Amino acid sequence: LRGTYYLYLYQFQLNMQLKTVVINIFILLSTLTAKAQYIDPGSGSYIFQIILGGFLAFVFYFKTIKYRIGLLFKSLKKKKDAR
Amino acid sequence: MPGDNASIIEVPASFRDPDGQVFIREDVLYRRVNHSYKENYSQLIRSGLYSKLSDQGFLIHHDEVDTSPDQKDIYKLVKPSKINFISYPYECSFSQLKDAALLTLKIQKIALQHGMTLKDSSAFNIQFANGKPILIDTLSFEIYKEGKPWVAYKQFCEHFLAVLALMSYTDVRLSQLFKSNLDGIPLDMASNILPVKSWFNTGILIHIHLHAAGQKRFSGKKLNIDSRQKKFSLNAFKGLLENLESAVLNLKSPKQTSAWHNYYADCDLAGEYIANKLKVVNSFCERLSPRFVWDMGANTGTFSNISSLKNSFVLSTDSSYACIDKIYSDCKQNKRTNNLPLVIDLMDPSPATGWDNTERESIFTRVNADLVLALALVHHLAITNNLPLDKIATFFHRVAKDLVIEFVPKDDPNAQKLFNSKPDIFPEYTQQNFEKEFLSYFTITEKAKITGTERVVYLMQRIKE
Repeated sequence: LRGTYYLYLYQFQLNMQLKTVVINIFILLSTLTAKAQYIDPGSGSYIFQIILGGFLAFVFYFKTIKYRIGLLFKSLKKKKDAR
Repeated sequence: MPGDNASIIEVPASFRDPDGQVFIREDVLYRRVNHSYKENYSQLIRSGLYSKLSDQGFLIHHDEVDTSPDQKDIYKLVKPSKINFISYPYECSFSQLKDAALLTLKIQKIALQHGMTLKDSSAFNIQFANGKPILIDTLSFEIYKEGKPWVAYKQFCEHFLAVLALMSYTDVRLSQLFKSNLDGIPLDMASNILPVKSWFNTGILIHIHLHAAGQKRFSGKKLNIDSRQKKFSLNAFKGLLENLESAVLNLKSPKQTSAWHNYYADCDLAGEYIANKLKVVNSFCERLSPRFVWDMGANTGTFSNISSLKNSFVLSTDSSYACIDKIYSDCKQNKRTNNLPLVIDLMDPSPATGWDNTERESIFTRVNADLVLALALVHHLAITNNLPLDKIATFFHRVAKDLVIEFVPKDDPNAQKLFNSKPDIFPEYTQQNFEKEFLSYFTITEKAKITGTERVVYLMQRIKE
C-alpha cells in the first residue's frame, strides 16, 4: 500500500514538473535576449529546440527513474506473490 | 550500365537532395549516392541500421548495382524496391498520416541507437507498401553528432504534428492545406487556426503554439546565450522524441461524419442489390487479369476487395475521409496488402504542383490503370456536379483501358434524392445517351441489369486511337 502511495505521489510530482516545464518555457521565451544578426529562417525552431531540450532531458530522466521504480515494485510484488 | 547518361529520366521530386538524386532508366528506378554522402552511407550499412530497418519493413530495401568507369562522381548506385503507387500526404486519411508520423519517430529512435539521425522528416518520404507505411528515402540518415539538436524537428512539426492537430481538433479536411503548403503547414498558421482547447494539450501547446511563438521571436536572430547552454544532450533528444510520440498518440481520430461511409448499409436497395452487383462485377473482373485497378468512388471498399482482384494492386479512392479511414483500418485488421486507399476528390483531383509544376505529379500522371471501376459514380458526376455525359466519357477514355461502369437511372430512389435540392435540368441523362456517348470511345463487351433495380453494370474496352 505504501508503495502504491509513493508511486501516486511520484506521478503527481511528475505532472507538476511537466506543468512547471511549460511555464518555464513561457518565461524563457519572454525574457531571453536576442542579438540582431542574420541566420537562416529555421533558426527560430533551432533555438526553441535548444531551450526546450533542457526541460525535456529533465522530464525524460524522471520518466526513466519512474519506469525503473515501477519495475522494482512489480518484481517485489511478484516475489511476494510467489511466497 | 544503369547510370549511363543515355535515356535517363531524372525524377523531379529528388532535386533538393545534394547527396543523391533519383532517376529512371528503362522503366527501372535507380538512386545515385554521391561522394558527399560516403561517410553517412558507410555508417548506415556498417552500423547495421539499414539491415535492421529494411528487415522490419520500415525502410525500403535496395540493391547496390555496378557503375560504369566514367561515373567517377558517383560513390554508389542503388536500385530500390518498386513501390506500386506514390501517394502524397494530402491524399492520406487521418489514420494513415498518424501511422506515417509514428513510423518516422520509431525510425529516428532506432537510428539513434545506431549513432545516426534523420536529417529530414518529410511526409512525402513515407509511402504505403503492402498495407504499411515505409520510408523510401535511404539517404535521409546522417551521423549523429552529440550536442546537436534534431535538424528535422521543425519539418516533423510542420509535416505531421500540425496537420494531424488541425485534422483532429478543427476539421479533417484541413489536410488539404498541404496542397498549397508543400513544405508543411507553417506553425504560426496552425497555431492561429487551432481552437483554444488545443492549448490544454501539453504536446500541442509545446510543439505547435510555443514553437510558433519561439520561431517568431528568434527567427533571423542569434541567441545571446553561452555555448555551454547550446548543447542538446542525448537525453534531451530522447525526451523530445518521447514527447512528440505521445503528442501524436494523444491526438484522437476526428469525428468523421460523411453521407457516404454508411452508403451501402443505409442504401434503400441494400442486401440483395449488393449481393447481385458483387456477382456481376466479380464475373466481369474474372475475365481480365488487371495488374493495376483503380476503384473510383470506392466508398468503404466493398468492390475493391472482391475475389477476382486478389492478385491485382487496387487503388481505392473516395472524397470521403471517413470511407478511406475505414478501408485503411479494414486492410490493417485483415492484413490486406494489395489495397491502397486514398482521399481523392474527382472534381478536384491532386494537381501537378511544386517547383516548375513537376515536383509533385498529378494523380493522373501517377496512375496507369489497367482496369477502372466506376460503380454508382456516374449519376453523381452528371447530376450533382452538372458534368455532361460526353465529358464523362472522354475522361474515362483517358484513364481506363478496361472499364466496369454502373449506370444509375434518374428514377432510381438514390438518384431521386439528388433532386431534393435542385431542379431536373438533365434531360440528356438517359441510358440511351449514356451508351451513345461511351460507344464513341469504348466497345461494350457486356452489360448486366442488377436484379431488383433499374441499374445496369457495363464491361467496356477502350477503342484504340
